Amino acid sequence: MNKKLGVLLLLVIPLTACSGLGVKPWQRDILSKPEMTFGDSPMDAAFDDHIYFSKEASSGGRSFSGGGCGCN
Amino acid sequence: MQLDKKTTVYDLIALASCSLLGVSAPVLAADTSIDDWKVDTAILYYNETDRVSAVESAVSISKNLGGDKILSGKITMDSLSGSSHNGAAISDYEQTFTSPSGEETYTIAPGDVPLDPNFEDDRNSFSLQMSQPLTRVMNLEYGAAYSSEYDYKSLSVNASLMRDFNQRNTTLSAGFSYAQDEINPRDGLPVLYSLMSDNTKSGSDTKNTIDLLMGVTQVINRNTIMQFNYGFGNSTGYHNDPYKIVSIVSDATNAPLDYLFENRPDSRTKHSLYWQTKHHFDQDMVDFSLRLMADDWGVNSQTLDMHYRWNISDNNYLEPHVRYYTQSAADFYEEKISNAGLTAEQVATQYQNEGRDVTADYRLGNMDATTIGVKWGARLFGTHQLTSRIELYQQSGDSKVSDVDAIIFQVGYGLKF
Repeated sequence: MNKKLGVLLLLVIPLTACSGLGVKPWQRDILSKPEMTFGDSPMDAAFDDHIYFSKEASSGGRSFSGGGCGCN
Repeated sequence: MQLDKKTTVYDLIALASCSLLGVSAPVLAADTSIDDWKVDTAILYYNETDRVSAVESAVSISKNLGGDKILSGKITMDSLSGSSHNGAAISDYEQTFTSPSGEETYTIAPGDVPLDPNFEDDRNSFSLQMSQPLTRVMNLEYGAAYSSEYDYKSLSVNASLMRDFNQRNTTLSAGFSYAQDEINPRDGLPVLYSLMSDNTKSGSDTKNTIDLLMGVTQVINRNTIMQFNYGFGNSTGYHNDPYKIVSIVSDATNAPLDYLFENRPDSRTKHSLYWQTKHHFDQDMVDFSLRLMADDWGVNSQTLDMHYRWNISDNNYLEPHVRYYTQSAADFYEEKISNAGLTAEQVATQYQNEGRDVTADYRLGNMDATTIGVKWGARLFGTHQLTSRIELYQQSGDSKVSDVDAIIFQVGYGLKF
C-alpha cells in the first residue's frame, strides 16, 4: 500500500510542480521559433547518431538507441 | 466542444495581444501556414586520419496529408572505406594478419596500430514514418525502417504516443522500438573461441533489440523549454564484431602467439537518462544536453553537448558546438590476453570452458571523446534553408589504438512548398 502511494506521489508530484510552470498561449512567440523545437535539425541528429553509435559504446537517450547497422 | 471554444478564445486573445505588441502571430501563423511538402537533403563527409573515411547522403521527404497527418520517408546511403583497428594490441614485434576473407594477409610494423586496410562497406537504409493526431492533445507516431549492408541487415518498427497537458506546457511521451538484425558475413561468422590461424567460419546469426523511451517535455517560461527522457534497451543474440580479434601474447617474451576472435555476451541491457534544455536570449539561443548511460556490460558513460545559436540576422546564423563524451570500459575488455605459459590453443580452450567473454575493441574500453564544430545556416527565398557544418572529432583512451582524429563536413539543403 505504502509502495503504491509512493509510486503515485512520484507520478503526481512532478505534474503538480509543472503546473506552476509554463506560459499562456499568447506568450509562445519565442517558443514557436523553429530553433526552440526539439529535433529541429533531424539530418544532423541522424548523421551524429550514426557516427557516435559506430565509434562509442553508447547510443540513444534523445531517441531510440536501436541498432540498424553493423558498425558496432 | 467545450475545449474547442476555449482554444478559439485563446487564439483570439493571442492574435489580439500580438497585434497590440506589433509582433507576428506565431501560434496562429503556425496553424495556417503549414506547407504541404517538406524536402531535406544532406551530404556528409567523414574522414579519420589514416583510418576510415565515409560519405553519407540522405534525402527526406514529408507530406502533410491534411489534418496534421504527416507522412515522411527517408533514404540514406553510406559508403565507407579505409583502415579499421582489427582488435590486436600494438606489439614490439612485426605482426602478420589474415584478412577476414582468409585469402589475403597484411603486415603491421612494430609499434604500429594493427589496422586492417581492407575495410569497405556500403549501406542503404529506408524509413517511413507517420505522425497523426488522435485528439487535440494526443499524437501518435509510428514507422518502420530497413537497412542493408553486404554483411548486415536490419528491420525495425517503432511507435510513440504523446499527450499534452497544462495548456500544452507539459507533454508526456512513451514509445517503443523493436529491431531485428541479421549478421551474415560473406565467409560466415568465426566459430566461437576459434583462433585467427584456424580460419574456421560458418553461418549467420541474428540480434533482436527492444527499446522503450519515456519522456516529459516542459515549457518553463517564455524563453525556456526542457525535455527529460528515460530510455531502456534490451538486446539479445549476436553482439560480436565478427572482424575483431584479441592478441594472445607470451608472458615471457611479449610476442604475439595467435589471435582469438572476440566474444561478447549474448545479451545487453541499457538504461539512459537524458536531459535537454533550450533557452532563448531573445536574439541568440543555447541548447544544452546531458546524457547518462549505464549497461550490464559495465559500461558507464556521460555525454555533455552544447550548441550556441548566434542569430546574426533574420536569415543567417552561426552555431558553435561542443560535445564531450566519456565512458568506462566493459567488464570483459582486455587489451590483450597473457598466455600464462599456455599455448594459444590451450588459452582458447580455457576461455571456451569458462564461457569467458573478451573483447579488445577500443570502443568498449575506457575512452574520452570531444567534438568541436561550427554550423552556418542561411534562409533563402523565404522557405529554403542552406546549412553547412564542419566539426573535429577526437578520441583517446587506454592506448594509441584509441587515438582517432576525424573531420566531419556536411552540407544540407531543405525546402518547403
